[in-house]
Amino acid sequence: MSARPFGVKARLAQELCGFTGSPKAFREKYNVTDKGQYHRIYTAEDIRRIRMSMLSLSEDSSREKTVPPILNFRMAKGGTGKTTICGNVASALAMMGHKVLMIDGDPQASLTGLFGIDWVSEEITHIGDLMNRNEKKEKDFVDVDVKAAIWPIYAGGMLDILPADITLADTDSWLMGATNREFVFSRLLKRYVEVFAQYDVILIDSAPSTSLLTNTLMTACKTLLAVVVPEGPSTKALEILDSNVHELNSAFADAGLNLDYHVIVNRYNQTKKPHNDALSKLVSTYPDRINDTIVRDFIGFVRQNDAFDEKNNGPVLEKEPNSVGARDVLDLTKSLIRMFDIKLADVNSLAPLASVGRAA
Amino acid sequence: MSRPGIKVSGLVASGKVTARDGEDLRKPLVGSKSTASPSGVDLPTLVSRPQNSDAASTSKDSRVAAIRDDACKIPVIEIVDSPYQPRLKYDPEEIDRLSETMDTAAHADPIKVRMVNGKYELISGHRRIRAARSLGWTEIDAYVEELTDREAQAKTLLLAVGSVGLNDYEYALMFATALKEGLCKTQREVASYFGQSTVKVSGCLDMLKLPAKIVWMLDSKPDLFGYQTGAVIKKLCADYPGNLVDIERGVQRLIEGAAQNSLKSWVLQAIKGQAERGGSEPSLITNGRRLIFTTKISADQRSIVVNCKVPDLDIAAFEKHLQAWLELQAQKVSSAAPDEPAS
Repeated sequence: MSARPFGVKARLAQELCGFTGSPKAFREKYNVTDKGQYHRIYTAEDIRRIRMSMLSLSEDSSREKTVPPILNFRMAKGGTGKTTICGNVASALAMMGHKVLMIDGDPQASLTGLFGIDWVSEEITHIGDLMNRNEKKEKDFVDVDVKAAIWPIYAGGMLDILPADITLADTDSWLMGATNREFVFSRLLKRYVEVFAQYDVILIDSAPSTSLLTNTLMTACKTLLAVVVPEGPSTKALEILDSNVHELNSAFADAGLNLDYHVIVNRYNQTKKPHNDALSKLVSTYPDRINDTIVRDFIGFVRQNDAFDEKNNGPVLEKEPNSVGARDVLDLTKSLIRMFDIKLADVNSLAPLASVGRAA
Repeated sequence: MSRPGIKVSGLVASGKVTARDGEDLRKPLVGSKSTASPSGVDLPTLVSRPQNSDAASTSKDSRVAAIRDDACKIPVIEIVDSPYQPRLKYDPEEIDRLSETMDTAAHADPIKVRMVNGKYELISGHRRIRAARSLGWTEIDAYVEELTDREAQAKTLLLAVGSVGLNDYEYALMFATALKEGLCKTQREVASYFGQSTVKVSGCLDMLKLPAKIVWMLDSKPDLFGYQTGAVIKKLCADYPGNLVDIERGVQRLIEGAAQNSLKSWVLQAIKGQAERGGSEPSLITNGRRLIFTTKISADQRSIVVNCKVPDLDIAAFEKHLQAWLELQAQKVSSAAPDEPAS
């Protein structure tokens, strides 16, 4: 599959770059090549290039060989919007110039569908396959081609996905017998670190159930992102997730596991009193875990996701960049960048110390 | 773009959502660090908040040589905004102009920074660093100073006053911080510390005591109104405590671009209009399909306005009939019948 052609207009591009000057100065300084459209269109690659030059980095600078920050969208209840938030945040991160890898960890493969991949008819190597092959004994081991399993979404490696299909549901059957099964995913990350290290951030869309698969995906990250709808069943499920986290932490305290979780409120409607009541409860119960940005109830999220017409699916930033939903996603993404310290090609280690006061 | 986003802290501040532990409700929650970074759209990778003053320990690293009295060049990339900077918004045009002078006439006045956690934290030069970034500079002249958190805070606030155009809400937050952190004890001290008049200090501080919703609007648009308009709003709130909604709508108008000095008359008009409307709602008379007449009793309760809504009715004939009926009524009543201007 070829990458999706997608870019934003100058005004949004300026915001995504964090350029503080006027629109005119932005146009003059950072123009893009004419792509034959009426408007100047800034792709994710263009924005990365602009941000790199704003930070005075050379274009080919890259991260050091370590596993990047991992954002795991996890919740013990279905339908709260994990996939929606995950896919939309991923596209926003890419449009802010980061190189992003999404991993679909849900056998329902809805994230795969959101980005227009028809998993029923396509040949897919999912995260379960990769972990399974990586666990093979010395003599049976054939090198796993992680790169071949990754599909491009935005050109230039800005947004890639490791898709899933229904067979991912079989993962638990072999995980049962795997040694130290909770760390199967971490081992995969470690062995193929040079593939994963080229991304600035990895996003995982987890399944709602509590299984061996979701557990192994959880242990690789530091903070889970729990997507919650401010309604009774969802807040209840958050308690289940909380105990799940405590269970894992106490079981693997020796291995230094110290998982935490952070709550993102989704599909909030200010005019519904039960929503405000549930939100009050959340604020009182998890005061230092709630993200300040709330994602409002916005029908565009649903509009962009047709299970029977994958080819036209996509995140709201692509389809309705000026909508309420896109605004909330961008605000949320900015807060996550700060929280997880997501960096652009590791600026700290590669700060150029040119003797002249100007970039070339 | 679209309507501004909803923040948990905003909902708590406006009282829509209540946190039950009875703490300071305006305290930002985790993840709400957007309030701490002053720029509207910041460079996310560069924002990292200093925990506490371990400037002394970090200054032992290789860059210790850079700390001296005269200006030196430091990499732009390693400079982060001060968490104490009172400015909330940066005017893009200003940044353009500044970057133009910096480009043509070179950088005359070095910025001031201090070392925190291996990064240079700005003390003064928040606008200059933005201009430098948009010029793509890799290095900038700077004085590197050794300061504790408290000294840095005091200095950042002081130097911000000398710089261009802080708006009154930013002043208000700054004065409040100064009082809270104990830099000054009284409003008079604040006034002399920052070189402002006492009237302005008390006026600005009063802005923070306005209704939560109005303060929230200020949060999203700091240059919405100044402290003088703030005083007008405060007085309106005191005089018409029952008409808070009208006052909020009046402030909302300012967001949409109305002039500040029109606020008072608009709100008073709205309040007065509401009192007048007290008479009655117009009654509608239809023939089942379309509206024919409306009648309305005026506020003085002594006159009725009849309005004919169809063009094809003969008004002269209608008036004659009405007069005949009124004459009949006049026979019955000994006193005068109510006058009725028909249209």
